[in-house]
Amino acid sequence: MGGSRDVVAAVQHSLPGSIRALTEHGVLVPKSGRSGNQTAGNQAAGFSHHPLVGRSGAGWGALHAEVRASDAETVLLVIPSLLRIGRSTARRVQVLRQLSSLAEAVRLVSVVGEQLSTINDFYLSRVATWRISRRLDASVSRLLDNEAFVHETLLRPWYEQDPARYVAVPTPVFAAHHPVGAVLSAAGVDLDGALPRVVIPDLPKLGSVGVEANRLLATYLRAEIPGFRADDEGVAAASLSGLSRAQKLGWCSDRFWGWTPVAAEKALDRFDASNQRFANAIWGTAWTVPYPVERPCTQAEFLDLDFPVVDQVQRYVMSMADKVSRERKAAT
Amino acid sequence: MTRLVLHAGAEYADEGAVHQGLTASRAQLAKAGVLLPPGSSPVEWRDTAQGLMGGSATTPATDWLRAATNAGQPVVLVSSDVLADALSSPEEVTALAAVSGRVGVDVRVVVVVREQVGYLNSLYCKRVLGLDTARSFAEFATEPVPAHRFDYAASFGAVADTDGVDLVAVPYPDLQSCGAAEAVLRAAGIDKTEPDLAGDRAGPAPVPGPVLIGATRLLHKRLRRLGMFHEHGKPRLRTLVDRLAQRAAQRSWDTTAFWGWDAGLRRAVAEEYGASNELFAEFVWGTPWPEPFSTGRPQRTDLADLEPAVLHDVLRFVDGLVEGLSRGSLDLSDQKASGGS
Repeated sequence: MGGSRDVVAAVQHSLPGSIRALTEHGVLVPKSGRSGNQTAGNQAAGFSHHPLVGRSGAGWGALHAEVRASDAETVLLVIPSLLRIGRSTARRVQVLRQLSSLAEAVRLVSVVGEQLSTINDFYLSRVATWRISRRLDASVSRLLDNEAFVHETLLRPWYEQDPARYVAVPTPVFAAHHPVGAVLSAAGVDLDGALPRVVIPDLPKLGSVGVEANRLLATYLRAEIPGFRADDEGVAAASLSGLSRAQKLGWCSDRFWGWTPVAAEKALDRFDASNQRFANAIWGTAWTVPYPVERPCTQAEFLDLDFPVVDQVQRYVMSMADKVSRERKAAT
Repeated sequence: MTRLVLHAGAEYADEGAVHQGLTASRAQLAKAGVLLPPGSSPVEWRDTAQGLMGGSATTPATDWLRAATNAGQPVVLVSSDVLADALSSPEEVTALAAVSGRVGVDVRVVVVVREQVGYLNSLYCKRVLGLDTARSFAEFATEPVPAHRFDYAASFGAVADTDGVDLVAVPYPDLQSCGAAEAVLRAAGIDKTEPDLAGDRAGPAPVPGPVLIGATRLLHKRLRRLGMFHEHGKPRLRTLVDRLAQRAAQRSWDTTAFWGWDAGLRRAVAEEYGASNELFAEFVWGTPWPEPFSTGRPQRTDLADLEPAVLHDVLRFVDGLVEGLSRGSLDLSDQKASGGS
């Protein structure tokens, strides 16, 4: 069922190279219902069985046939979107019914981590797509209203009916193992040593300068393009090229951390009690994933940057705004 | 005996108002027996002030002073910000006392003192708009340069300890209540029979807004990146700041005055200077320090948080100035050039 963007990317990246070993050890990763453009240079892109739970629900018949034709003891489906879809009771029941008809036992595995890092990454993705222009600490109250960060709220529908069916892997455990091995191990299939070693590349994420540049750009765009919306046609593609340009400029090479200790403490007031209840319900223990409250904030101030960087940032903002404007026009 | 009054105005402590008030009232002051240095610019007065310091018996400045003394001039008044730094040195003060003895003048040093919180805020704005700094306010206030200038007990201890040199101080609020030049003259004990000085400005200079300050820092950094300081020199580049200020006024970029302090930093600075201020006040007035530290809500600029239209205008206008200058299409002497439009 996924987890953070990093977790999903790690699983997706390591799966293509693990399929042979998985098959040899009795684990089927079905081709039916799978999406993704697994070219040589981009094996991991979009690797998931999301189409099974999409609106059309296509692919279940073929999946049943593929599973019946296989002698594998275990079937591994990767459906990160289940976490989101599970908010609808009807769709959740429908998916569970399909899964139960596919195998004798179903294990739902997700990876859960502390929310400060998750929100920090979420903030970065919002800044990189020009949805948000304020600093993280100024955006905290809105970010904390998002129930997707509350494990108890997000996952309870999956575990409250049948606790044995749902398994949660804490992020430190996931990070210490092969991504696919960690998921399978949580489901009771221990293959960690049998899977080929894999190096998971870091997803490009904005560093401190990149955040400042894109915060400025987000505000600038709203004047440059009247009625600008981050969901507009052409904007997503432009934001990808913005991220790529930021990478080339070296603005993704440092790790951004937008929390100040004060804001982090305030956020934990929101999450810690429910994390404790979640841990108790799932693991029968206290919450054990440490919160990086004291990690130093690396938020930069645009006007405090060195003058060559200030110059670069302003040029980036103005040229990217032109590009977004052009691509948006072309798309519409 | 001629009295030599040295107004040791620390940089911008009086926001330039004393110099303006004095030069605008030169004729009135002459009638009252007060002689000012030749010229009307702070640079010319600075030359005179520097000539009086350093202990040399024959400089154009000491010759000028000697001539005034020989002519029976009652008061010679020199105002310059360089005096404050020079008079912080015991050697310089001793040399001044020696020169005054040789020329035969009575020396009185007048200083305008100001609570440091409001002072540093105003000084920061002045230095940013003068393209003297592009640092953040927090950095500027934490390490003001030169550090001794803001500690009056340290700055003027040497004057207080030297025989033959009197020290008097004017609290900054007095400048606002009776005019800047008038306040200095009164403190110097000059009994002026003329009516109020015509050109003496009352009230502090307006503090610029945070957006103009931010835009000027951006302009400064971009000019530095392009090596424009080396190519054109700071005084000519300041005309770009004038254009920026005009644009800020035309487009109403700012609705508040810049205030760089946050509570923690203000508290630390107030603690740092509070005891020294009390010591100084006790020595010169025999009273507690009269001016409380200023307060305010932070009014700084995070450009990304501006209204989109304002940010857009700031970035476009600054870019227009920088690119216009870089392409050579902007004439720094022509105020009407449209480089930033």
